[in-house]
Amino acid sequence: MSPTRHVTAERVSEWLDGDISEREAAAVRAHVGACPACADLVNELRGQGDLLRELGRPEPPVTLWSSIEGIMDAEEARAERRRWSWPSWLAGALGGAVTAAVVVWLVVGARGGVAGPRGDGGSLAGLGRSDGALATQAAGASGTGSDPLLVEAERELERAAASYAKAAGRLRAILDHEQVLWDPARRARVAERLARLDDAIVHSRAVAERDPVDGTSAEMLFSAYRRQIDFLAEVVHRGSPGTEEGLR
Amino acid sequence: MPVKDPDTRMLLTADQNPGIGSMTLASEDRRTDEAALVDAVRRNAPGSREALYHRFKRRVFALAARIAGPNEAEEVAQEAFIRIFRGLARFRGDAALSTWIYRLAVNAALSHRARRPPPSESLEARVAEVSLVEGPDDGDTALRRRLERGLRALPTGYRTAIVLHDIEGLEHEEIAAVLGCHVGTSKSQLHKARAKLREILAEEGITAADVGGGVGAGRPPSAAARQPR
Repeated sequence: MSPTRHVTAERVSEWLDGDISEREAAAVRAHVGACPACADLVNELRGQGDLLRELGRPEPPVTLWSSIEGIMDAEEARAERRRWSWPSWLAGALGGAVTAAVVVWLVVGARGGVAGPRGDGGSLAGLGRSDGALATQAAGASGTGSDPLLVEAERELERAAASYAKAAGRLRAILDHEQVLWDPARRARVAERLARLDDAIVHSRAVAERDPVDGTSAEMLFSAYRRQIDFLAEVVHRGSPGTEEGLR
Repeated sequence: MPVKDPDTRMLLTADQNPGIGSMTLASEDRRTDEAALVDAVRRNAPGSREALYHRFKRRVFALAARIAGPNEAEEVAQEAFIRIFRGLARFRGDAALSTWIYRLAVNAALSHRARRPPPSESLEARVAEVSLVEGPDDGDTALRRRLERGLRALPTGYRTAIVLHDIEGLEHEEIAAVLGCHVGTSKSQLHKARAKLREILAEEGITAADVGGGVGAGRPPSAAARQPR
């Protein structure tokens, strides 16, 4: 490096950090030693570096954490709601099933002279409880296959059961996909529980099909479906059966 | 082959400097500690997020303020922490937690700045701008305030390099990991940034006497202490 040719600030910076070769560093050192202007430049860049290091870090406002926490909490609450709210297809299927069940109940109620919800809360369970004769009467009518109300009741019972079965089928498909990652013991416990719930449905369905206007058997069938769906929904929505309560 | 000045060479040779061994141990302790903190946040352990926030808040906020501007710092830091908490499940631990956090904070600041470029340096804008340096406008405080303003006048790439290296104390390898660039690019940006900053300060009337009298004046190259991380 020529003694008269000044070093650039960029070059001085490289030299200060040791980012140039020994030969280049020696040339810069020799020039700086002989040139007061470049020696000033070196001191200036050193001073600038020291000032930068001394700048430190400003303290964030005290409200920053609360705003971050608020956003994260709201985000998690939304995610939680999404996780626990039943999907629209499931809500639709259950809505259809409930509507169908109500129609069955109204049909039976009309035949038994009961118009609308009962005083005991209007549940389907009340149908067979109060009208022992109704089942017999309806069974007789069903056997003829000529009563349009009974035909309609049978049809609605089928629709409701189909809606429940469809909802359960969707959940089962999700479960089949997810339980691949579970340990075999858990999979076995879930399978055993589902087999018991399936048996209950098959049994209730057989009873309900024998007498479609029997409110008690219809309620038993729907209750069996609901238990199955509740169990599937809990297992699917939690990702895995985290608590033993779900497996009881 | 780059050659460090004698003081730096000594610092870089672990065998000659027993301090390096303890630094490595401290670094390992920090990694273990950080892994435990990450695990706690992933498990959603009570208070773990807040602990992580307090550990990194000043680093993230300072980066946000210096890269995106003091007026934007709170919004950028908030966005950075939300990215951090959302992304922690995917953090593999290949890099140090701090490097990963720096990367998210820098990305948040740069994308914010790209979305919302800073207003022109009008007098009103300067008056309205939040100052990062507290205190009366005289002596050292005034100098630091002008230095912060000089930093803000740098092109974004230069500013990011000088902030990460000279203020935050990151090594070039870490800066390369944060910015996703080569080590050589980081060095080149830094040296250009220092030269440009010097020009800007000179235009502001800050002379060699103002900055040359700093604590590092007269030291050999590279011997100035780095800011603790």
